[in-house]
Amino acid sequence: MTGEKVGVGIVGFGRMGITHLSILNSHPQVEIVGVVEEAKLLRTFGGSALGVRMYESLDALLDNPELDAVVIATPPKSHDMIVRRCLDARKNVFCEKPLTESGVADAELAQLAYDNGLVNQVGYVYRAVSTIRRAREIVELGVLGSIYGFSSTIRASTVRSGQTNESWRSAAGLGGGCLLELGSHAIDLSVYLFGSGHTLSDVHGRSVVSGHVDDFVSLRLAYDLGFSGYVTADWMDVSARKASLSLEVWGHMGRMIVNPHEMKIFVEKDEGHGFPRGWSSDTVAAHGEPGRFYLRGSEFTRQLDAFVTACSGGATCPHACDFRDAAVTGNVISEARSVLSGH
Amino acid sequence: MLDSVILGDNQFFGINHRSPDAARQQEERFRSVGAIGGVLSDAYECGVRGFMLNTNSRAGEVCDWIRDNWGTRDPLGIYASLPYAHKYASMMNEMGAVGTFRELAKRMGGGKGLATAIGRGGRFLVAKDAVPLMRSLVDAEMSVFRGLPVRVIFLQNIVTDLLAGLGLWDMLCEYGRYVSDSLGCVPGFVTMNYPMVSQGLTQAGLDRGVICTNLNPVGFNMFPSQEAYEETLNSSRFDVMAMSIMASGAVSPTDAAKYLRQFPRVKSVVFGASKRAHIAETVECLRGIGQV
Repeated sequence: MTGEKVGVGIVGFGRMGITHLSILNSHPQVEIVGVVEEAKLLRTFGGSALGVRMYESLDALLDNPELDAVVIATPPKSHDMIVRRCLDARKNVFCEKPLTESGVADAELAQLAYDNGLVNQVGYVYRAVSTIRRAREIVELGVLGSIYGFSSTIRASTVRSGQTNESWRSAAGLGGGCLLELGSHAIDLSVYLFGSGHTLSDVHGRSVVSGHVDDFVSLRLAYDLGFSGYVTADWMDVSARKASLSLEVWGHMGRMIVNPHEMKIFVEKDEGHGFPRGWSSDTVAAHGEPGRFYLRGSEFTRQLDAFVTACSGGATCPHACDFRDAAVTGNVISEARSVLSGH
Repeated sequence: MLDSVILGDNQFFGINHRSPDAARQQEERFRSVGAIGGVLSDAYECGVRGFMLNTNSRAGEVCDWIRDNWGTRDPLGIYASLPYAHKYASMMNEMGAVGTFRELAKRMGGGKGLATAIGRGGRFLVAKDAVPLMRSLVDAEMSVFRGLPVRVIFLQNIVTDLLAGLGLWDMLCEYGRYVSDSLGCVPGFVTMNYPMVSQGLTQAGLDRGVICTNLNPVGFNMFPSQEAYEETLNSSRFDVMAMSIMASGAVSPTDAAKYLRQFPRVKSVVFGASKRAHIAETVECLRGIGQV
């Protein structure tokens, strides 16, 4: 660390990379060491217009002695190699989701991070949304009674017919596809709320408009505790204005419906948890926690600030997704991908 | 001078962050531009003389409606907000960051030179090119309002806050000066991080502009804190247009107005409503705001 500050490098200068740069650059305890970007156009822009030190190669960044931590925002295919090299160089790592394309690789990286005593976090950003955090608390408190079902759905209009769809998001070879891009969030929420210990079944997926990758995926997760739920991800929903996530959980004493802006809960009886009988809205959760900075929501800042705190020796955030958790989601993704590809 | 009460536009375009159901109902109700015009007329009769309109995909037909139907009434001041960020986000999804850059340079004409430079791999894309690119983006987005009385041109919070985080205060000031000096309007900045943006713009030397930000007595969506907002309101040089004054329904219009009246810097309020009774009630409560 350079004095009191955490030296952070960013790999990948696309939409997420620049968002992360803006958030981290405004953090009083962070020193931006540099940004790695393959595309010369973006490198030139970053260097001249933003005044950031731009690197062509990861090695050059890793050689900078001021570097403590790396934030990775490249297409998923490249994550495995980049994360591995950062961990070998003993740097703390925040990686965009999904961690890799394989649950096995995820678990290896989790072990490597653990062995080297490094902070490791994956950008499953919904875990930093206050309504989602509240949903987990409600499950843990048993407000809904014995849970018997759930659904975790995410929809967006990322790809459309008639578009060129040139981004990596629509390229199978770069780790594109709806399952990896959006489905990973919906699966992670199930892991965040209910943990591991599930079996996967009923995997369906289709490529409709992208022509290269899955545009719609649904799957069922059955938990050993005796309940199950459906995970659905759809990135060609023409009616979606932007990515929208919705979570529903049913228990024998109640039901809750949650999205990032709103939480509604029905309880059969007032059991002293602060919810009267019938439907009510949890406005405290909906109003969110205050935060340091807001860019595309406050949750992107909240998750990165948790990472910076852990890198400077502070407590690890109990909500953050570490590599071990990401490997649970990764296993579901791997298994689903092998079903979809017919293996 | 800013109009003290301004009607926002989210409700017309199916944007309701809290409730997807409400968003769907509103979108259905305002499918025809005449229905939007009806609300603008209602608002006018309630005393509203300002309308904030984002340069979204329906802005053109709304502006056409105003040009064709407003007649001899007092002009409706336009508070433009740009860019239509959604459009650029979709471009990023479709063609990635590099493709988006190239496409914008091409479309903006950003000078043939700029497009060629980008085509050659960005060898010449340096800081000085960012300013003409910004100007041509602003011009392109503003063309929809031609002939209408534009009072303020706001930069949307996604852009203001992105640039603020990156520390690009000079770029924000360039925008401000371009709007004042070349377009003859007041520059505005929508932000979710008011204390930071007010301080940054002041230090960078911008002397004229309006900041539009959330302001309510429960601290909803005020970053980093309500206290920091209140301190800044008492020391900032920029006039403020308050938004989200009822904190998504958590605060009554009366309490919202009472809170705002403490701050002489608050010259204006932008609010969203589509029922005449709601507009009338809000306008009544806000009477006198900005004239302290």
